[in-house]
Formats: sequence, C-alpha cells, structure tokens
Amino acid sequence: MRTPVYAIIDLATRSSARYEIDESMYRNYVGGKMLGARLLYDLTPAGVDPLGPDSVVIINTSPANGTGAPCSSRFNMTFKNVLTGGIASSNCGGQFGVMMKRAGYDGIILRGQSDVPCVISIVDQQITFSDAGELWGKDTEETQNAFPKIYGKLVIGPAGEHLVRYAAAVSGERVAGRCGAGAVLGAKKIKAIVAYGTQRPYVAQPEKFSKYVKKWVSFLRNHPMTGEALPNYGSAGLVSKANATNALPTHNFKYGHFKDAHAMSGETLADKHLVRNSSCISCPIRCERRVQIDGKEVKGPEYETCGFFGPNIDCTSMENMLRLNYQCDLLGMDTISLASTLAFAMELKENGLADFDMSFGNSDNLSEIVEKIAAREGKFSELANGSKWLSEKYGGKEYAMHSKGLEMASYEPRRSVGMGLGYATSNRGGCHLNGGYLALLESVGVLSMDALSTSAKPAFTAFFQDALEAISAAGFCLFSAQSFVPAVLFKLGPHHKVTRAVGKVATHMGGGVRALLWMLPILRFNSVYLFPHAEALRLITGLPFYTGSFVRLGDRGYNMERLYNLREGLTGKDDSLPDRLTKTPQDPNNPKTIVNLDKMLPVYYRIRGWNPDGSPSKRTLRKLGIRV
Amino acid sequence: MTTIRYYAPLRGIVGKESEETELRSVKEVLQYVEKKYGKEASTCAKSALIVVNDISIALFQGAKTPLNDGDVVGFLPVCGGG
Repeated sequence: MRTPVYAIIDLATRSSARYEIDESMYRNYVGGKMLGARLLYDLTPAGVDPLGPDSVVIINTSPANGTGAPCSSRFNMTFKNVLTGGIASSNCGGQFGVMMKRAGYDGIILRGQSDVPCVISIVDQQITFSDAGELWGKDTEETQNAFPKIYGKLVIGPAGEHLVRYAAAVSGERVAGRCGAGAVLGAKKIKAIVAYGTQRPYVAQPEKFSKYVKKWVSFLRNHPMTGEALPNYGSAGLVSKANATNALPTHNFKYGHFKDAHAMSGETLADKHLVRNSSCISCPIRCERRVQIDGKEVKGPEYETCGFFGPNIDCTSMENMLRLNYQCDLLGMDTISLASTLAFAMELKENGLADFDMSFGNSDNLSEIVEKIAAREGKFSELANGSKWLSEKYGGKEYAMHSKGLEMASYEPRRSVGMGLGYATSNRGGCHLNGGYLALLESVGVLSMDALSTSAKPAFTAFFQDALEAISAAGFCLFSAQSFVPAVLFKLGPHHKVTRAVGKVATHMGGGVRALLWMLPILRFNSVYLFPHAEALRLITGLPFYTGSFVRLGDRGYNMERLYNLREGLTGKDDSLPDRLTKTPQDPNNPKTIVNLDKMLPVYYRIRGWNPDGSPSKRTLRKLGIRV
Repeated sequence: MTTIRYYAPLRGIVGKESEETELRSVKEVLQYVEKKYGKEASTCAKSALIVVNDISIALFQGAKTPLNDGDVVGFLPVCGGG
C-alpha cells in the first residue's frame, strides 16, 4: 500500500512543505472529495471567509487517476463554498490532476494569499512560484497557451480574478465549474497552476488490474448507454427526454415543458453543429461534443447549458447558446449558476422588482451582459453574487431557484420528486450529482419509477448519494456508473411492459433499499455490472474494497461533508427548496406535482441515522468511524 | 393528418426525417412502421422514447394513445448524462 503525498503551499510566503496522509486517514477517506472534506474540516477553523486569507483550498487526485482505468481522469477541488458557506467540491476532467500526480503529488493544499498575481509550477516534485505578470486579465485559453502543451494546467479567467461567486477553474477545455472554484483561486491571486512529471501511478496488483480494465472497457463499449447513447448525443440528448416528461425547467422553473425545446436539443446539436465527439483522458465513453464557432472547433455544451440558455429563459437560438457556452469557458464561469441567475433576474424584471436590461425570450444581448458580469461592471456586479444574494436584496425568494445558495441543475423536481429531495439534502447545495441524481430513474432515463411518488425516494436518494460519493472519491467520472441499468432494458425500450414493471417495482422498493443499506458490511462481492469501481479500487490500492464497503465509504464521506456544513452554521432548515417547488403544483390540476419535502425529509434523516435536526447521531458517527 | 418524425438511429433505417399519415393511434403508427420498413425498424421504434407532441406516451395512454389531426409522433433515442 502507498499512502498519498500532498504539498502544503503557503501563498503568503511562497513556500511549500511535504505533507503525508497517514494510513488510517487514507483507508477511511481514500481521496478526492472525501479526503478533501476531512482535510478541510481539520485544517480550517470554523467561520473562515472563503475568499479571505485564512481559507484553504485543496486540489487533489484519487487512487484511480492516471492508472488507465476507464473514466479516471477526474480531479477534485475542495474549499469553503462561496455561494453556500458550507462544503464545496468541484470535479474536473482536465489533464491537470493526472499531471500533478505524475509530478509527485497526490494533492496540494493552498493556504494564505499572495500579494501579487502568481503562477505555481509543479514539475517533478519541485514547486516554484512566479509572478503572473501580463497573464492577469487574460482569458482561460490565452492563459493556458502561455505554457508548454505537455503541461497539465489549471487556470482562472477574468471572472475568477473579479471574484464572481460562481467563477470556475478551467483545465484544458474541462471545467471545475460549481461552487466558486475560480473565485477561491482568484482570492488567493493564483492565475494558474501548472504541472508536469513522469512518475507512474501506484497500482497494487498491476496484472490483475490490467485484465480488469480490459473487461470493464469492453462492458462500457457494449452497453447501450455508455457505448451508444452518450457517445452519439452527449448529455445534451437529455433535453428532449426531460421535455417529454415535463421535467425540463422552463421560464425559470415555472413550467416543465417548452414547446420549442427541439431547437435546443441534443438531436438538433448532432444534426446541425456537431463536428465530432471527444473525451477526457482514458475515457471510452467519449461524450464530449465538438462544435464549430466562426470556423473554430471548440468544446460543445452539456445538457445543463442547453437547458438553461434555452428553455429556462424561453430562448431558441442554439447559435447564441453555443457562443455563450464558449464565452463562459473563456471567462471562467459556471454556466449553471450564471444562467439560472439570469433567469431569476428576468423574472424579477417581469414582476417589476428589478431591471438588469434582460427579458425572457431574448438572448441576443446576453453575451454583452455576461462580459459585464465577469468584469463586475456597474449594476451587473450584483448578478455576479448569484440568485440567493439577489433575492435577499430585491425579493422573489419563492422563485430564486437554489438550495442553500447553489443554483439547481436543469431538472424540474416537481416531475422528479426524488431529485427534489436530493437537491434539498445535497451537502454542496442544489446539485443533482451530490443529490443522488434520481432524475435518471424518475424522468430522463429508460427506467421510470413513478416520478411523483414519495414512497421509496428517501431510501434511493441516500443510497445513490453514497454510491456517487464513493465513485467520485475514487477518481471516476460519474457517467461510468450509468451502465448499472441492465442493457436489456434499453433494448426493450421505456414503454415495454417489462421495463415498466421494473419501474413500478422500484417505486415500491424503499424497504428493500433500506435493507440493502443495513446489509452493506456483508456485501463482500464485486461485479462489473453493478459498481465496477469497487473492484478497480481494490486492485489499485490493495485495500479490501467490495460493493458493500464501497457504498459505506461514500456514506462516511457524505456524513463528513454534513459535519463540515453543521460546523459552519448550516442546519436541517437549510435542507430546503424554494416555495415554487414545494407549494405550487406544476400542474394546477394535479396536486401531486410538488416536492413534498415535509413527508420525505424525516424518513430520509431516519434512513441516514441522523437526528430530526439533520445532524448525524453519535451512533451513526461511531458506526462510520468518524471522529471529530 | 398526423406527422411521424424520425430521429437517429431510426432515421437511418427508414431513410427519411418525417412523413405525413392518416393513422389514428400510436399503436397504428408502430404497426405501420413494421409493415412499411421491416423488423429492424420496428424493433428500433419500440425501443425508442415515443412522444406525441413532445410528451412521452407514458403520460398519456401508452400505445393506445389516440392521434388527432395535427399531432406529431416522435421516436427519440434513449439518452443519459447529466
């Protein structure tokens, strides 16, 4: 076994020191967002300003990164969330993580603040600092082009420099988008971190691992979801699916269906704009879209961007959306929080509460406004603070579409009530992935549980939150988990009686999932059909990870994140959604089209072993081996 | 008159983007696709997400969903992501 090696980097003194993670910490938290949450809890006092000098930013890898396992390029950033004040983890598929690991560090811990904008270089274990000079002010593409192509890079754009609260950090063309990852680097005056090295990542059982990787890659390539659907349409393919089930946020989540959604769909993107598909390092799925803008090939949009720069602001110009997507990457801004904030501002105008020169149905002037937000120019600086801040100043809290301060993703939870519970309980705020992503089982996947039933949703939400937590912490892209729905159901189709029957059974399987959660310690098997990540992690680390202990690992991580949130002042009262989702039925003729949190939350807390106030009980912490 | 709209991969099999018909239910459309374009097209159509006016037939009456003049039936590929 090899334990991770980190570097603590002090920006104020421009110095660094080696920091070894001890064995017990490694066994319990592994890496990525879970180890990040533990370290953030231990290394920062309560109540620090996320943009102040005492804040800590952890950029780390996971055991699988760089090993050649499928979908294993993801690295993580953990910090105090600029939008929520709680935990933040932001995940990115760029080259930086793999290169940092090859340079000799599994992670870096950034402390203090630099006096002047700077660049950090990590090359073959040597960490050096230099002034950013004229790079400060440049966009993310120009900044990255200033360094050798073979380097892994993590940079910010003008939005991060101006501390836009939802600024992103960019690596290659991939983005650590959520929670203000770019803002926390900007606050430390870090323009870029670059890494290069030649160390090979540690694999405990290389021969068995190599064989297993071949088996897993073959499975992914032959599965209809990861071998056909995602490569052909990317995540943008979900626009039509969400629209078909009334789960596509429209007009700032007021509705769930947009009559012109086809104009912004993955099918239209593939027909009219797709140049080719591409991928992160060592990914056989290849979901990335490549499109052309003014003759230049760039990364295309994800589902969230199509939805939020389209139906959610009543717009149908895919050309405008593609440009805005590219512009956000250059400026270093999260398209979800930005576009959701714009939709909120449009509704403020519609209701006569504020006017930011934009209206539903018009995206022609948004490029200019986005530029001003990134520069925090004039009144548009207010939009850089996100929808929660705006609602506190101008009103409209009932339709400010965030949870805990982080804007929700593009799934209308009144037609996917388990996703609503996930948004509300997600530790980092309104995130579908940290929320367990039940939308895939309720409204946009091949298998459809009853999207309006609350009965099994607390158990499924807890289970998938834990599973996704573990997959992410191990270093894998969450898309690699989408092959767990049996391939045969895709061949039969969503309307086949067998597929519908499985969906109906799942709708009433809450007790079964609860039993599964209790039985985790005895689930000592691994299967490529369920969580192949567990077997890969076992072979990479040499530690005894099996399906049960793998999901339990995620449970530990989820509780650790929750403890951080509680220490920073968040409570169960923050496990909430705007009134639009909990009090106003999406369909006025169907009272079930709301998210009934009052019914689901107490059950969810009980399943998690949490107290009625949303805090983990002592018994739960003891069971998970968490000491604080 | 109702419209059938084909998306990939079904579009590649039937060789057209859309067509006009006088069919009165989704079931009739599925039978029409099988009869006119063969078994492969039928299998592909049945495994697709079938929508009427962009809404899943699961929210109506499934294959029994009736069609009225001006309705558009679509066969969307099942996708993932997020």
